[in-house]
Amino acid sequence: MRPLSVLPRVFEDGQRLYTLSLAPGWSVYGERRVSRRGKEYRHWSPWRSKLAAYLTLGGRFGGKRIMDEGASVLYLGAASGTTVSHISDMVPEGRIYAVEFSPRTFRGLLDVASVRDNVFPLMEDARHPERYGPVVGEADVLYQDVSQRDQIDILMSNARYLRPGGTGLLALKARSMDISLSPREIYQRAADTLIEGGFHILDHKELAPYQKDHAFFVIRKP
Amino acid sequence: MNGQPPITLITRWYGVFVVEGERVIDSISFPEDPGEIAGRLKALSEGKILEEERELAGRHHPVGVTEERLTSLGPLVETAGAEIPPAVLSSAPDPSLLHQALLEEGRERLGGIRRDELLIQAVSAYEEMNRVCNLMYERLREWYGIHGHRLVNRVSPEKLAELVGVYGSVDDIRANTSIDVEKTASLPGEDLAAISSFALTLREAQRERERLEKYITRLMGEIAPNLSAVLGPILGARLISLAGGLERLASMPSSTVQVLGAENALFLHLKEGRRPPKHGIIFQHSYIHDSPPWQRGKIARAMAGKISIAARVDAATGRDISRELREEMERRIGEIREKYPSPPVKPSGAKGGKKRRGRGKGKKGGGKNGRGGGGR
Ligand SMILES: C[S@@+](CC[C@H](N)C(=O)[O-])C[C@H]1O[C@@H](n2cnc3c(N)ncnc32)[C@H](O)[C@@H]1O
Repeated sequence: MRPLSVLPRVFEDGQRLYTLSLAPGWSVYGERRVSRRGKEYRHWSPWRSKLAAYLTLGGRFGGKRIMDEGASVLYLGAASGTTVSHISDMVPEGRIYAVEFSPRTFRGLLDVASVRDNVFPLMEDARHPERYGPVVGEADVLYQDVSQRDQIDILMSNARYLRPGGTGLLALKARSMDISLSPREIYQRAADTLIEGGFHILDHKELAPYQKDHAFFVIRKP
Repeated sequence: MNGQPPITLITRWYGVFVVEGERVIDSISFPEDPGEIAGRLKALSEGKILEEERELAGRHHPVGVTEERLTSLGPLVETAGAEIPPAVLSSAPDPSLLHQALLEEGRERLGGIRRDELLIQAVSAYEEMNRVCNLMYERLREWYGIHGHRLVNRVSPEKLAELVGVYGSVDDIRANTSIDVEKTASLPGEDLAAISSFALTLREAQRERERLEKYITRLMGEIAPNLSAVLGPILGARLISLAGGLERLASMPSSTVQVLGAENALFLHLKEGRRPPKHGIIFQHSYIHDSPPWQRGKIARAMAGKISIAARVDAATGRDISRELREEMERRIGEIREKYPSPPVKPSGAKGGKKRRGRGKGKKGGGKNGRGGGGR
């Protein structure tokens, strides 16, 4: 197991990615757990998580270590906590504010949060960031995976909680935005909007074959 | 001069602060209790103004605010974002307090469990127990039949399971009860013991099925009393389960309700142009399956209409209109029976045409309820 330099507590063994578990003995979504020298690692599948797909495809955030073990992360579109749980593994001294508005999926997220003290579940609509402002405050990383037509607007309106110099990770689903344009055109427009909005784009990757018509953007708030 | 007040109000999950530049000049902390915090988070999320915010705004008039929510307390000076003065950040209590509050608030917001979700699980469990009971009963009949064939055909499934489970051999049953049957063949005690143990398990499974039925009846009385009255608790529950919830059932047109549970037939209809199904799971109601074939489509449609109304009332208010619904439904069914007492006349011989002709008759005589099939 070799550690990845760009993220804390993430490892690779040549084929697979793992995160060093914060909650040994628990699987969140049926993922495999392996023990090495008394430590438990959770397999992190690129098929299940877009961040894992980005890393598996060689993405390294433009060479930047985007967070440390004390980072605070604002995560929009947390669903039932699959990727959230792996980010939770990375930040034992930090916290992850996980926003999800669908009651059905939020229930799963609550289960994850109840065994992980650094997961702060918020059943809120990411289109209304003011509703959770007093909870969140300042984040080092803003992660967004909401698969909505207005996903760029959602990102922009939540960026107020990203500290200057903080990183944005954006999973863009082309099909939820505009079906009359090709995915490439959509990514290009998204990039333009982000740059207009004052962000720097550090990296982007398409997530095939792990996700269809998805791109992953790494951006920085100046 | 820009007219902005030099001080601003900042709200965090642990308290409200009045700051001047980087300095905190006044503040009210929330009680360090998860419940107290959860209550305030809820209010914030709903866009309400907290008492503490009002109080501090009153003490420090005029104060600038940093959230839309608070604009009735003072002018909006900037939108709250990442820039929170360190003095405010450093007064935060242990984050486990926030964690606990969010878990409580989250559970609260889910509003407990939706009752129809429990119902859906329970009715699936009931169906599974039913299948298990039927399978085991068939096995017991065959197995015990080797020893006591006569008994097998004389008593109910529950009685059979109980007698064999408790007494075992036909001789012991005769000795202990008033049941008087001959045995077919003798069996050694060891073999009888195996059958007897199996029978006890079946009896327990039958009891579980009864318990589930009672539980479902209770749940249905609670969440869908009207549907329960119109269709019976078990069938009603299965319909809710097929629809994916009471709300969804309530939002379906009655033509869909009529064929719920006949998805396969509906699929073949859409894909291969076969006859559309007349009735889905509601066919199992005795009103329909005890009626002659030519009346079934009409009765199914009449029932589906009442079921839709029942589900809508259940989902909306839960007001009990079951008496009216039942009376109307029975009246309507009576009409159908009166109007179509005998099978439609067959024009000529071809065998497979029976049902189609049934529909043809309906078209002529059925008024607004014309066609027996299709329905939509
Ligand atoms: C593709 S899934 C996210 C999967 C998740 N990021 C993971 O990797 O484990 C998108 C989620 O975003 C949620 N979502 C969509 N719009 C939202 C909004 N406006 N506010 C909060 N959550 C939203 C959906 O309910 C859904 O659960």
